[in-house]
Amino acid sequence: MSGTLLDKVWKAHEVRALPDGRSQLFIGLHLIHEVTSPQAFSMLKKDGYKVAFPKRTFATADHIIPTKNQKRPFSDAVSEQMYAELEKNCKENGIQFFGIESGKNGIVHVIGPELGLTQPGMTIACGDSHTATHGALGAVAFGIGTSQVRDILASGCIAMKKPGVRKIEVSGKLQKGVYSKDLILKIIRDLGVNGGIGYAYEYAGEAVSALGIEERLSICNMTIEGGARCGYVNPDEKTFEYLKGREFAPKGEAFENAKEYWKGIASDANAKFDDVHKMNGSTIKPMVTWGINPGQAIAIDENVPQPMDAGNVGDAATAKDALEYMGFEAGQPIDGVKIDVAFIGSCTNGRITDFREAAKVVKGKKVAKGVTALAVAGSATMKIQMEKGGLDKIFKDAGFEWRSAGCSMCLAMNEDKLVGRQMSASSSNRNFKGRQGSPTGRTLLMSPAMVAAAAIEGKVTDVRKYL
Amino acid sequence: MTKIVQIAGKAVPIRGDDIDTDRITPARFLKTTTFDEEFLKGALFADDRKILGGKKFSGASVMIVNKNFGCGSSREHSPQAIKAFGIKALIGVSFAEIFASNCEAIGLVTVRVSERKAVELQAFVEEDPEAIIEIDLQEKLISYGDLDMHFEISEGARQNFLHGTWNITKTMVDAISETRRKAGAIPYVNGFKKN
Repeated sequence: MSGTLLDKVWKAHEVRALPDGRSQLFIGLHLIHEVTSPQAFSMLKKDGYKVAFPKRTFATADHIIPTKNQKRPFSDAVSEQMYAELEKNCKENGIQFFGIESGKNGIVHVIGPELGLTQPGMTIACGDSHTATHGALGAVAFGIGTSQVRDILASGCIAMKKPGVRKIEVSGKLQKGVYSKDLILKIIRDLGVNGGIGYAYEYAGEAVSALGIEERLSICNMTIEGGARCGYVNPDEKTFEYLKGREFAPKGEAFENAKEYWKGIASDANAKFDDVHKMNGSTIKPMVTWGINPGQAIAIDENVPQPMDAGNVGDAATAKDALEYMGFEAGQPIDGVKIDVAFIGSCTNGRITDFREAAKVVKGKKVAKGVTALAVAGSATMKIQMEKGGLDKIFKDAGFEWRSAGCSMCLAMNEDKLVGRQMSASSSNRNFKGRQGSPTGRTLLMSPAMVAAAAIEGKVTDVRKYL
Repeated sequence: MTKIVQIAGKAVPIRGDDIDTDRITPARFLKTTTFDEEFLKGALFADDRKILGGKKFSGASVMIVNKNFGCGSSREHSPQAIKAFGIKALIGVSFAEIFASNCEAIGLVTVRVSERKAVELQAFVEEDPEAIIEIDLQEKLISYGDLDMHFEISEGARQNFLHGTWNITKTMVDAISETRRKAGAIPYVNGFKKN
C-alpha cells in the first residue's frame, strides 16, 4: 500500500481507535523537561499510576537553566526547585536524566537528535510546542500539554486525531546568505500562522533535500509557528549518515536493518496528499520579522507593510497592533533598524552549523558599541565541540558573550531577558509580545548569520554583503 | 464524573486574532511546579490585564475570542489559568491545536463559530455585559438574548463533555497489554532485530 510517511508511522503505532474517534497512538520516545512535567508526575501519583515505559522516556532541563553560572544549587531558588524536582521524579521512576552533571544536557530538541534518540519512523512527544523539530529526521513528533504528558507517562500513548498532510515542495536552490530559517519564515508568511491547523507539514523538494540535518531541524522546529503541530522531512542518506555512530542510534547489523526500515517509511512517490503547496526556493531573500507573530516577516529589502494591505480585517487589526507595539511606521524599511541585543541560540538555531555560518560574518570584527551580544550553544556537547574547533574564540574576540547551554533568551524563564523596550535581533522562533522577558521588549526574528551581521553593525542589515 | 451539557453565564470578549499563550500566561508564571489556582488567576493576561475588561465583565464564565486563539507555546498553564479565572467555555473562530487539546483534557469547552458571528457575539456582550450566554452541547446551539446561533465542535469532544469522559488516561491505561503488543512489533522498540 502506498502512503505518506505519516500514514505509515501512524499505522505502525495506532493501538486502537478510541470511543471518541481519536487514535490511541503509542509514543516511541517521550522527552520530558522541568517546566511541563512536574504537574504531570503529581497527577500520576494522585491517580495511582506508574510510568508505563520508563526506558522510552528521557529527560533534560533547559528552560530555567542559567547560562552564565550553571553551578548547583542555582542562584534562583525556584529554578533550583524545578530542577531538583525533575531529578527526583526521574530517579523515582527509572527515567534517564541528562542533567548538568552528565555533560549531555542541553535544549531538549537539540540533544534528542544529537544523542541519536530521535530516529526516523518514531512517534515522539514532548511537553513543548517545538517538538516538531524532531521531524527533520523523519519522525512524527508532536508538542503536547501537561495532561497529555501524564497520559503518556501512564499509558505510553496519546489520544490524537490523525492530521491531514500538506506537502510543501520547494524547488530550486537557496542562494548564498539565505538559510533554512529564511525558508521557514517565508513559508509561514505565505501560509499564515494558522494555515497549518489540522495538517502535518511534509517539507520536500530540491531545496529541502539539499539541506543538512541541522538546517532541516530549524525548518521543522518552526512548524508550530505556522499552526501545524507536526512537520517532517523524509529520511534519506544524509539522515542515515547523521545518525551513524550516535550514542543511542542502532549499531552494526542493527544499523543496517534500521536503514532498510527507515528507507521504507518515507512517503511513496505516488502517495496522496491532502494539500500540496509549491514554492521556489531560489527567489527567497534573507527574511526579518517586523511584527508580533512569526508570519509578519518580510525580505530584508522590503518595507514594513501597510495594515490595509493585509489579507483580511483580522490580519489588518493585528498588523496595526504590531506597528504600535514595535514602534514602526508602515512603509519604513526594515534594513537599518537599530538593535540593542543580538541573540544566537535556541532550539531553532543553536546548533553548530548556525554558529559556523554566524562566525563567517563575525570573524575579525567587533560587536557594535551599545549592543549586548549572546552566543548560547544548544547543548553542552556542542559547546565543547565548538570550543575545540576554536569557534568560541571568534565570538569572544568580537565581543559576544559565550554562554553555557540552555534556552536562554528565547523565552525568558532564566536570567537572560530583554529590559524595557530593547530591540532584539534573535535567531529564536517567536516574536510575540513580551516573549523575550520584558513586557515591552521587541524581537526581530532572523537567521543566525543575519543576527551576526546586525550585531556588528548595530542595526538590521543584509548579511549577503559579508559573504 | 461530571458531565457538561450546558454552560450558561456572563461572557467576556477577548478581541484579536492570534492571541498567543505567552500573552495569556507570560513565561515567568511557568516557574512553578504546581497548577495552583490562585497563582494562575494572577497569571492570566498578567501583562495585558485590561483585556479582561475589569469590573464590567467580572464573573464571566464564557470567553468570546477570534481566530487562532492560544497559538504558540504548548503550556497548559494557559487553559488552566483561564479555568481558574472561572471560565467554563470559549467561543471562537478557531483555536490553536495544542491549546484546544489542552482545553479538552481539563474539561474546558471550546466551540467554533464563523468570524462574523464571533464579532457579533462580542458586540452583543459589550453592549450588555450582564446578558447570559448559553451554550447547549446537546443541541449545538448558543443562545443570547432572543437570538441563537449554531456552533461547530468535534463530535468526539462533544461526546466526551456530554459523558464526562474527557480525561482519557484510564481508558488508555486499560489497553496496556494491547499497547505492549503493538509496541513489541515496532522495529526500533525491539532493537531492529531480524526475526
